[in-house]
Amino acid sequence: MQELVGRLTALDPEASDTLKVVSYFDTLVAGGVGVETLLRGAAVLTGTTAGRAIEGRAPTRIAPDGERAESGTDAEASVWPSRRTSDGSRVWIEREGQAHANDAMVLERLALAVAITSARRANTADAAVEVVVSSSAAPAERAVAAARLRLDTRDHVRAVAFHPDAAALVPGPNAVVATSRGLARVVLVGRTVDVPSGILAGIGIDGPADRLPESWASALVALRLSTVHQPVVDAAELGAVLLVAEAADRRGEPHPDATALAALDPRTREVLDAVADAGSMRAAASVLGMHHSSVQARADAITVQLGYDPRTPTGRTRYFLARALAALARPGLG
Amino acid sequence: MTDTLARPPFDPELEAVLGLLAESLPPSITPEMITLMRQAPIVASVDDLLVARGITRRDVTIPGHEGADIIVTVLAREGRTGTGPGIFHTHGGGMIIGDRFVGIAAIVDWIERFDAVCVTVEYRLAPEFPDPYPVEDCYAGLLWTAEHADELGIDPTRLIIAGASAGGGLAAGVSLLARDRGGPALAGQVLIYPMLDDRDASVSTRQIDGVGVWDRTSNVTGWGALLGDRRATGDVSIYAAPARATDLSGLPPAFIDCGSAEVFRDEDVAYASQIWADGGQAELHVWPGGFHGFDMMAPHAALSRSMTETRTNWVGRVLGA
Repeated sequence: MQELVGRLTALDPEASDTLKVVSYFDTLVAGGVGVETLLRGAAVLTGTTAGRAIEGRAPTRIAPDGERAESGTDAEASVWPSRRTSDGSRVWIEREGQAHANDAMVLERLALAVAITSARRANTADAAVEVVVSSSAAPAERAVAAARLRLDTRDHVRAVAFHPDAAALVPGPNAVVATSRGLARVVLVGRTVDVPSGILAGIGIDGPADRLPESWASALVALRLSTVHQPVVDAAELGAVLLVAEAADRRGEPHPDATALAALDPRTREVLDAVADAGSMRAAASVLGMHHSSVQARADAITVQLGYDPRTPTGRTRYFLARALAALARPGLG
Repeated sequence: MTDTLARPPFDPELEAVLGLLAESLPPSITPEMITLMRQAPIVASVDDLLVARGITRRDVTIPGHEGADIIVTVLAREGRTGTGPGIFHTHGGGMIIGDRFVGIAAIVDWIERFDAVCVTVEYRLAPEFPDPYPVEDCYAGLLWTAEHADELGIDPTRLIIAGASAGGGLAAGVSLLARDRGGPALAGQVLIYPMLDDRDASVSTRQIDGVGVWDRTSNVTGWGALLGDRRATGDVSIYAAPARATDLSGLPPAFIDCGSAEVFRDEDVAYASQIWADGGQAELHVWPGGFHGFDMMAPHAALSRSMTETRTNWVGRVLGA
C-alpha cells in the first residue's frame, strides 16, 4: 500500500546507492524483460525521462511515470548524459542541471542491460552462449546452441567467469549473463587460457560442451574465491572445495568458522595467511617482514582466538576451508 | 511457516521494485507493530495533491455507528456545479491502520475524469473498535451520502462504492448491508484486491507467507484485530467477512481485481464466481505476478498501468461517462 509502506520514487540525489541500482537492473535482466521496461526502470530511479536510440530509427523515450514520451530527434537527444551500448545503440537520461549521485551508475547498468537484452532478442552468438551454460535450458536447446557456436564436436571446453564490467579479455564466444548472484561475463575457451594479469577470473572445469553448465557453475565458485593476491582461480585445482562450496550455498547462513575469520582485523588475517600458506614460521616471518618470534607470538594468540591451531595439519585444512567459506559468504560474486 | 507452497513468480518489473522497497516494507505485520505503523506519517502530502489537482476538500462531522461522531471528507473539482456521479470511498489498511486518504490518488483521477464527487469516510479502526464498528461506520457514511445527494451534487442513480484491500472488504460488506437493509441503491462496487475472508484457509494464503506484501501473518493480524477470538469461528457475520456470504444475488455490478501472487487472490476469485453463480454481474481481473497493492507501490510498471486503466474503464462504463 503506497501510503503505508511507500512507493518507489527516484533515488536520493545526493547519496549513492550502487547496490540498489545494480540489484534493480539485475532483477529485470534475470526476468527477461524488454528494453522499454529497462528504460522505465532508469526513468523511475532517476526521476527523469530515459531514452534509447538506434542509428536511423526514431528514439524511444520513457517518462518517470512510465508513460511513453514523444520520440524527439537524435539531435535533441544528443545533449543529454549518455552511454554507448555494446549493441551499437545509445541510452541517455534527460537530467536538467547537475547530475545526481546515482545517474552514472544507472546509465552504466542500463547500457549493460540493454546490450544483454538486445543480444538475447537478436538470437546472436551472445544468446547461444547464455543457453549453452544455462542449467535451466533443455538439453536439446543447449545442443542447438553448442552447434551454433561450433562447440559441439569439441571434447574440451571451459567456461571462464569474469565480473560483468570486464570487457572480453580472452578470445572466445562470450556474453554477460544473469546468475543467481548478479551479472557475470562468461567466455568459452579451450583447455588452456591466459588471463591478463590483475583481472579477477574463475576458470571452470574442463569437459565436453554438454557439460558446460557444470563448468560455468564451477567457474562462478572460482571467481568468488579470487582475490587480489590470487586473481585467477582454476576450478580444476579446487578439488573437494567445489563440493564444500555447493553445500555452503545450499546452507544459506555462514559457517561459524567463516564468521570467526570475518571478525578478525586485516593484519591478523595477513599473518594467518602467511603462516598457513608458507608452511613454516621462518618462511612466514620473511613474507611478513617480521621477526619469527613475533610471528610465533601472534600465531599463539590467534590459535586461542580461533579455537584451533592453523599450524597443525588438521588446523591448516580447517583454516583453508574456513577461508574459502568466508570468501564465498561475501555478497554477490565477491 | 513450514507449509509454504510454491507460488506464482512475481512479475520481474514488480519484483525489482519489491527488492528496493524491502528495507522499509516487512512482509509480515504482527500485532505489536500496529502502534508503530500508525505513527508513521501516512499521507502528509494529501493537501498538496488536492491543491495541485484543483480539488476542493470539505470535512463534515456526521453520526457514525451508534450515533458517535465520525468525519467524512467531500472531494470535488474546484467550482463544480450541477449533479453528476458520486463515489463513496472506504480506505484500506488492514482494518488496523490508515486514514480516509489512503488510496485517494486513484480516486482523484476519477473525480477529474468523470467530474465526480467523492465522499471518503474516517471509520474507526480495530482493535480499539472491533467489528462491527468499521463496517457500520462505513454504512453510516453511505447513508449520509445518499441522504445528502442533492446538496452534494450527486445523481443518486450514479453512486458507486469503491475501496482497496481492507477498504475493498468494507465496500463489499457495505454493499451487502445496503441490500439486506433496503439501503441506498448502488450503481456499482469497485473491490480493489479486497480483503474478504477471515478463515486463513486458502491456497494463496499458504503461498504468500513471509514474502511479498501483506502476507499470511499480516492478514491474520488484521482479522485478529477486527474479530478477536471470533476469527475463523462460526460467529462471524457476512458483513465483516463477505466471503462467508452464501447468497450474493441482488448486489450491484462488481469490479474485482487482484494479483496472482497475493493472499487475497483465491477469496477474490471465489467472490466473483459466487456472484456469477447467483446470477449477478462481475468483472474479474487477476494480474499475473502481482503482489498486494502493486499498482500503488509501482505505478510506473507496465502491469500497474494496465491494471489502473482497466479499472478506470469499468468505472467509466458504469457511470455512463
